[in-house]
Amino acid sequence: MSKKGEMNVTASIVKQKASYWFGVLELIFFSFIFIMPLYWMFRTALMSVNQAFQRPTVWFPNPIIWDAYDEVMWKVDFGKYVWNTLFYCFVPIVGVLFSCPMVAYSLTKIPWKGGNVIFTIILFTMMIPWTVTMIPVYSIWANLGFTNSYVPLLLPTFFGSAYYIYLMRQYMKSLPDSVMEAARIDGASEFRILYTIVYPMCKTVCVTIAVLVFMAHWNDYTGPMLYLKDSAKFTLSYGMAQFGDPQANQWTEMMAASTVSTAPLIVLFFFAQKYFLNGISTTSGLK
Amino acid sequence: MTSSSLPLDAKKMRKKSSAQERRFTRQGLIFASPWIIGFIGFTIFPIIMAFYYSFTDYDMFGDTNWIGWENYIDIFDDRYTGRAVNNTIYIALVGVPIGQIVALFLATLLNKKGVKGMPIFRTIFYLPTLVPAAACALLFLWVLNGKNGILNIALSSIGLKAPGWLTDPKWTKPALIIMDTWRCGGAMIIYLAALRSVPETFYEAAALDGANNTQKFWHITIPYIAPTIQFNGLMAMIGSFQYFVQAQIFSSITDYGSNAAAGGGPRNSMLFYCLHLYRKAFKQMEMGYACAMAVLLAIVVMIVSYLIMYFSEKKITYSVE
Amino acid sequence: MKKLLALVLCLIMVATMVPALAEEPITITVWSREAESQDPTAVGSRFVALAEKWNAEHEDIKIDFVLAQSHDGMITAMANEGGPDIVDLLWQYAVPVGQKGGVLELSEYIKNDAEFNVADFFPNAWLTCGVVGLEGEIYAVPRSCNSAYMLYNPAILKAAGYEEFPTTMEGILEAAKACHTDEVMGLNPISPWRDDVLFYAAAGVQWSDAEGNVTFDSPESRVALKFQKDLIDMIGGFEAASEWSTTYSNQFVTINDPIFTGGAAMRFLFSWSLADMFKAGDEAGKVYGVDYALADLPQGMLTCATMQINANTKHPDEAWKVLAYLNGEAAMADLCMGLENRGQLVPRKSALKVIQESEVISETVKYAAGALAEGNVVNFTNSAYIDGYLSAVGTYADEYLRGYIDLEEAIELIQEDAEKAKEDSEK
Repeated sequence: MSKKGEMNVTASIVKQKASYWFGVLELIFFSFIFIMPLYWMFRTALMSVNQAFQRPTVWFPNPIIWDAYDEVMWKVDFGKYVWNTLFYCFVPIVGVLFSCPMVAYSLTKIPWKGGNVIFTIILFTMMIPWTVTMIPVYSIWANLGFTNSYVPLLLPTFFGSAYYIYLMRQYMKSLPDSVMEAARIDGASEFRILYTIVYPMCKTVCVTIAVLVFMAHWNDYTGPMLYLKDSAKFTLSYGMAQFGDPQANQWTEMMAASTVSTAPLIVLFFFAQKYFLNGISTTSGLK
Repeated sequence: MTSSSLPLDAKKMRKKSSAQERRFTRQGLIFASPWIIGFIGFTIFPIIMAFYYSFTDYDMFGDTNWIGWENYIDIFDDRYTGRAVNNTIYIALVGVPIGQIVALFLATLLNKKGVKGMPIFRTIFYLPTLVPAAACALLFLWVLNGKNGILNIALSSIGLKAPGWLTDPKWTKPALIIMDTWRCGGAMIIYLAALRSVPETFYEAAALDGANNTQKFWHITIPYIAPTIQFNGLMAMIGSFQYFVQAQIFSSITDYGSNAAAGGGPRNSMLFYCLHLYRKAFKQMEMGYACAMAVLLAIVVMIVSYLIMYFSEKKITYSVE
Repeated sequence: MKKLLALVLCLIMVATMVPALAEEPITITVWSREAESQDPTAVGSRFVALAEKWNAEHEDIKIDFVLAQSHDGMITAMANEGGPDIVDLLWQYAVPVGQKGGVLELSEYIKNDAEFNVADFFPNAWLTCGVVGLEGEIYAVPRSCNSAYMLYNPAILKAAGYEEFPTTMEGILEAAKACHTDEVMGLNPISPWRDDVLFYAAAGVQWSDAEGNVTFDSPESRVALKFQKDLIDMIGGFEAASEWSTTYSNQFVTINDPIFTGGAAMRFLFSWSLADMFKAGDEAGKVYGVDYALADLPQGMLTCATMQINANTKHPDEAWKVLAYLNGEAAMADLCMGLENRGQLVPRKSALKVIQESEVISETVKYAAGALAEGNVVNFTNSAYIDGYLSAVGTYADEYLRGYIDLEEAIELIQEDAEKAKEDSEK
């Protein structure tokens, strides 16, 4: 390589390294900003109330007090709540992953006129605030006899959910039609195409959706509030809500409760991301 | 080919395509059936009821009488409607773009190749969405405190103005936007998945052509993830028109007592359209009026969504080609 | 053989029918907003225990006590058939919902149920349950009370020339001004409940008259508003006052609360934090050595949590029996012990006596119970348009205190808006 060529190569390597380290610095800077409030939450849960709000701010709990966690774990039937919540989070994943890809497939890859009409209606349903549909929906379930059960919360997920249908639709639109055409010419039924070709191509999005559904249901409060009347069925978000009353002045317990209900999600997310973001890309799926 | 067989072939072809069409229509319906059943079963009845109630004085307990357009007229007469609409538009026009830009920015940061410990960074940025909304509001009471909040300490240490985020009516909405942007992890994850699906080959080809990072971003990345931007943007916009839960939690923690039920914030600066709707429905028990508000909202959102979709679908198809 | 078999079969059929012919117990469902807890002294747990006690003693009526319900959930269920029999709506909605026909009118039941012993309640508690209290229509039964109190620093007041705590609103205002310095907050009116009830109650405002007309426009309301404005001017403006308030709002109930550190001369608090406040105060005393005392307010303010009967209930008489039991003398004697046996104020005089004679409850709560039993307490009148009224007061008092409108305008606007809310609710 000529001298000039060498210099160019070095220059670009330096540029690359500089941009790499700059990126890392940005990451660290923003992580710091993002985690600050959470650190405060974590720290407050381990302090006495007196120290928690002292001015100037005390950054490290001194001494570390576990009382708040004791309160939270003892006052609340923890195991039962976690079990119910897990149930409430997993079933919708099955429901959503069953119904949404199907509907999205119908909207994008099956060339029929109804696709756009249905999509428009789907979008429309998201525009009505739930405040006004809450009572009629409740009355449907009450008339069917399902007022103290998980059915009103879980059954609808098997019939598609507008948000995830839309998400899948965007994703599926970018999948090439050629593969499906080829399969059709080969005589495959639409069902076969969906399950043997499209689903594998959508692995990334499906895992993303699974994670999103889980997260959304873990902290969901309004659903259980409306339909669960039996304390044996209550979920974690419900049990933790009792510490949320600002008039009760239970700040440290509230922080402890939030940490406790968030910790499993953190662990789940940390491990799930390795699965769905690493090594699975659509380019390999397309082949 | 004889002239007599030509029409026969053409007929056959037409028959085939209409049979195919019918096949596709049937398949389309079958695959969309879960949603269709759900829609007919759970969704359409409440929507029709809400529409019907908007023309009545339904108050959930007494008699329901038809009053025609009265609710709709009252909405325009109501002292609070104007402010509610303004606040909601503010959130839609300011909060949504800020949230999306930050989410996309963070996603690009997270998309850097070869950084060790990236899973930790990803978790940190996504963490805020995992914390329940009520706890977040409390956290931000501390962060945004006028005198001792960490944000104001940081701002004043670099010489910037440190406003009373929670007490000054001019700054309560920006305060909410700050809290929401902190919780942009959901959109960020979707952007990240989209970014990762852009084929490397495009970037390599562009690099060979001498493109720098900025050009790569605007001419390859953005067009490729345009459907995702449309999705996130539209969802955020629809969500912003229905915004109220965060504001309600915020103001119920900052105000005490019976005014907390109102939750409009200082000088009603946090009175959003849907908060006003909720108040009318469940606090003043004028459900008919609330339904009228909902119908108006749906119409506005429909128009705005249609405009967004119309302009973005054009852009998307263009760039894919 | 066949005949024997037939006979045996008949006997078996009759035998199985007999239990079925016996009375099916009627289940009364009660939905409460109290939280579920493993702690047996928590209010929710106490109620469940009371329900179980009833179930053990009664065969014909059973109570199903459901905890952790929300107000919205109750309204939703009540708007349909088959909801709960007894509900626990937020206090300000009992009357509006009642006037719309959502909850039962109870005055007949109350009159005819001697065991319920209405006289045991202190009369003002019933103002939360109906527009004119016991003389009119009653839509709810009060179950627990809250009131506002004030702590003050005797040393600071003495230094400013006040040996005794002032007994009138003007006196309190003057004392606050005298004590107020850059380091010491005289009295900050931006406290819980400032905008709707507290100061107006103290000034003796009449919210509405016997016919139900809005009577906000009165000399008393001017006194109340001006009182707040004067204090805010003393502090240096609304912004400064609310800054101070939010800065110290979460110091509340900790040893660093300004009343304990000498940073405030007077401070409002509420009965639910009484016990905590005094506990913190005792600790703070060791750290800061500052003395504090509970003040006698000229006129107290009272709010009660209430329970109501769903109008859609299929068993109104049985529901009343259960409601009367849960709010009866025996039940309240237990409930008044409160969370961790710290004491809970309830509207029955007999229960307040139990508090005062208890060995475990603190002196402060005993004192508060005594003050409640004999004291002069008023209430914000419950009515069908209460939410609109409260919003009006909140909004325009706020504008006035921030200095955007003057006193006369504020009063006019509040009166107008409240009247409009009244009209709207009567449509």
